[in-house]
Amino acid sequence: MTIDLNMLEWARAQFAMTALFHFFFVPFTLGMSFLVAFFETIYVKTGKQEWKEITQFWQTLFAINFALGLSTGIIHEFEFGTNWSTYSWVVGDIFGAPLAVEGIIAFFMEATFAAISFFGWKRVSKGVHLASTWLLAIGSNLSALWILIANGFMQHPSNEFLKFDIETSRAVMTDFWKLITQPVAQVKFLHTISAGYTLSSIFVLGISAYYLLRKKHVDFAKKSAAVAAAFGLVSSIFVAVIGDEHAYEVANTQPTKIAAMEGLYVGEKGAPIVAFGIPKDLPALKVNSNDEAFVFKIEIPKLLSILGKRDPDAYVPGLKDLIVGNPEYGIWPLSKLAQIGAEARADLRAYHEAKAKGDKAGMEAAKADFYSVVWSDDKLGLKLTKSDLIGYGFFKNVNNPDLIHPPVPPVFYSFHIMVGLGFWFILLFLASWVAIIKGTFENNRLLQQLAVISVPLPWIATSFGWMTAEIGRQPWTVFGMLPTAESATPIALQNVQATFFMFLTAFVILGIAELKILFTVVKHGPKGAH
Amino acid sequence: MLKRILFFYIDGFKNLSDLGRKLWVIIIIKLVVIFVVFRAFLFPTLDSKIPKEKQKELYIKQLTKITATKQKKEE
Repeated sequence: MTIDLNMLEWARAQFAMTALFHFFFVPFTLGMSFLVAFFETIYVKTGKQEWKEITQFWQTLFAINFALGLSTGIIHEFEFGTNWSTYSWVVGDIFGAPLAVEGIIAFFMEATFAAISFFGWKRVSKGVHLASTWLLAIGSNLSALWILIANGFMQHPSNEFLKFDIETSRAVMTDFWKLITQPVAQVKFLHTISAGYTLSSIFVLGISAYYLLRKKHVDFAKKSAAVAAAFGLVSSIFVAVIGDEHAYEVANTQPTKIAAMEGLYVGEKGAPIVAFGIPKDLPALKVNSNDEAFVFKIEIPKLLSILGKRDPDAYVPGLKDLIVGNPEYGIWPLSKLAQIGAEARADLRAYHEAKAKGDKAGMEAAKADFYSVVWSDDKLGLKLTKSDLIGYGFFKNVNNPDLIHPPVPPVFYSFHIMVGLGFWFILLFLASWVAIIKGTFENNRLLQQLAVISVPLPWIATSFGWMTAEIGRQPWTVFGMLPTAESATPIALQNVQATFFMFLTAFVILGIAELKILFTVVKHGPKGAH
Repeated sequence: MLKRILFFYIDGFKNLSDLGRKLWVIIIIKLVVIFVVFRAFLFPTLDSKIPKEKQKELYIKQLTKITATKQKKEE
């Protein structure tokens, strides 16, 4: 089988397009479901009709997003089968489990309680309705948990919960509990859902500010803005705090990603963070100093070491170190990793050739070498076998070692735009919350205008966050185990192009429908929304 | 109990607002497009052209072939 590289790029573009389109709806659902639950809780507690109207209006917008976004993620499942069949073959047993749990538990939980929450206003008691609204929010967020457990595995396929099985040539799960509780997945989940809460809070704050600017639905807007500003402030601060924890996990599990995020070509003790900068896309081996890798930059000294290693003087490896190695800090060169990976691939081949001949001794010898330990740390209780590094075997004969890390500029810009917007959201919520407490938000036109202008920004931030995670993982689909170029199905370029445009057409139509219906409902306002 | 659940849904669909009706139409069209139109285009795929017993062999070859990632890129 040979993979057409054009086809690979089209398949990647198709998956990215589908993910970004799906992610247009997801964070809104995650956050808005809780905001609706907050509004309804206030209604049930106070018994005031105005809070029921507020709940029903925002629930209508939630329902539009829910209906339009429903099933867009299914397209991914198609793509796993058509474009990424080697990936599906190799890691399907692990990746499929969280997806199946998501489908069986979380999706049905969402569907059941969505029906009661949307249809049940006059048909069930207040208590049952409120419980359903909360369970819908919890179900939506549980869906995200399972998806991000699956993605967390792709970012950090630890041998604590999986092994590459020589008999089946597939990765198999060895510990389900460790898979779902691994820190990479958990911080990713918390970072993603809190970003969703921030996004929906900005949406509610922005729409409320729009009504206040137009002097329409003033009481409704003030009440909605108060809840959104409080929830948004807490959520946006939490996004930053858990984002720091996320960066720490990335620094310790995906060193190439953190180096690309900060444009760190040469490792440093007390490594800085680049607050602003224009990085160059250079071959890592030709870079001798991090200063020459930037057109311009403003740094915050030692911050990357603090964030990534919790020590201001800690060493953070650069892309060059990850290629040539650094014995002082125990970093293996790519050539050594590739050699071990190539031996693992040779063992896999030898095992199956011996099996075909009925050579049991040959099978046992290949298996013993495949699972032989190449590194261990008794204190930490960690070990690596050749099989854990099988993916590096694909980089044995590379002439361009820069293929082992992601491209610096897109990862750097995605990460910095996300972080910059994240800080803007904290400032916006803080200013809005203070103004609401002081009672000045209603007349502060500048703040209202800023809130309205900010409505699309969290979608940009979450998309760039996703791009940081996914482009930053390159050249792997499963970090260290399966390169992206080896994950694809060897199908014709035209097939992928045809489906790309088919999906694009569907997404554009759905996107236009979503925005048109949302704008119409927002324009009419809360009266008679439900 | 089942009857009550059934009537809950029937009643809910009967009393849908205009917006609710519009959303259900979009949902149904979307599901038909995804599961009928797309599926018709996308399947049968490569998967169905290769006998099941040959698939494992094919993937093992893919995982153990000598070609390096870079060499394929240069092609």
